[in-house]
Amino acid sequence: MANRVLIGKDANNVYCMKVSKAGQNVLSTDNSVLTFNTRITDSTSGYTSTGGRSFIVIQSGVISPSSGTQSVVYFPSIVDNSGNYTAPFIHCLYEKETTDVGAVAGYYWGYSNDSAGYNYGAYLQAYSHGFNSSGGNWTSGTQYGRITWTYKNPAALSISYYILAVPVHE
Amino acid sequence: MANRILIGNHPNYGYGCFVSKPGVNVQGANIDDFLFASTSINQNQFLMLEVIPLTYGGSGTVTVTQQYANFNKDTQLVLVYTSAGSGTTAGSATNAWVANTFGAFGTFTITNTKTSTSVGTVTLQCTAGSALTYTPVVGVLTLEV
Repeated sequence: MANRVLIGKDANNVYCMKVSKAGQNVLSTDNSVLTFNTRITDSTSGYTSTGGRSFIVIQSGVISPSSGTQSVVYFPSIVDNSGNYTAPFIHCLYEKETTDVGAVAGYYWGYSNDSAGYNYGAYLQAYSHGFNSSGGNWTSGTQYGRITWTYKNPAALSISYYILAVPVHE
Repeated sequence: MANRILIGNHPNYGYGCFVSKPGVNVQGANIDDFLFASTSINQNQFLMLEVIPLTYGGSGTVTVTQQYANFNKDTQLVLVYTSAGSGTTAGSATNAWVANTFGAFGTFTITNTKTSTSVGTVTLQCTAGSALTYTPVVGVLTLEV
């Protein structure tokens, strides 16, 4: 059986956690065998390395739409060390009237309510911040963002959603 | 408090490293209860996730490229979604992102190439659309497809 999990020093004498693919030795110096690596760094010009971050689920739930109406969900705003607010990536599963399930990635977000992109059965808008926990305008304390689903035909029976924080740099 | 981290021999999934959701005993957890399981066939980590600006004049073809460290991964899952174009504002003093609906304004092709065992290259090409500086977010995950 191959060694697949390393927590400690690797072949370069660097502390890390690494996981290899099934049947592959995690001690290999070939990065292609790894499925997880805490030592992902990148000095390529033009952007800031993510450091190997992954999606982090910050909130999930199920909403029940009604055609022609809206559903609203609030989530604690995501703010980086520079004080910039970032809109989350939103992943939805739409259960349609035919009981089919289709995965649709949320792709529209913003602070101002200026336009919309259509998803299956509904379109969504995400606001990164500016609200309190009950939907009023933020004045102090924790800021919240908002996701609004506006339903279109065909109506969906339910929508499961995940709000994901991602390490996007401008 | 539930035991949430197991490094060793899981009763159902064998040797590995496992982390369960809050409130779930890692030893009794099923696949749906794991935050992390080293036995997964892959993990999702971003090799790159960045806004790649592209200024399109309204005609012809414009191409931009961005290289990244690919850690010798073969064809990876590429994620593209949208953020602000220069024609929109955040509506706030801080940098909240505002979307341009990608397909409504331009026609784009995204290509991800394994340039070498250490370098990958993402090529973003616009062939049609409104004259605008587009700022799509382009992500490259470690997930090999």
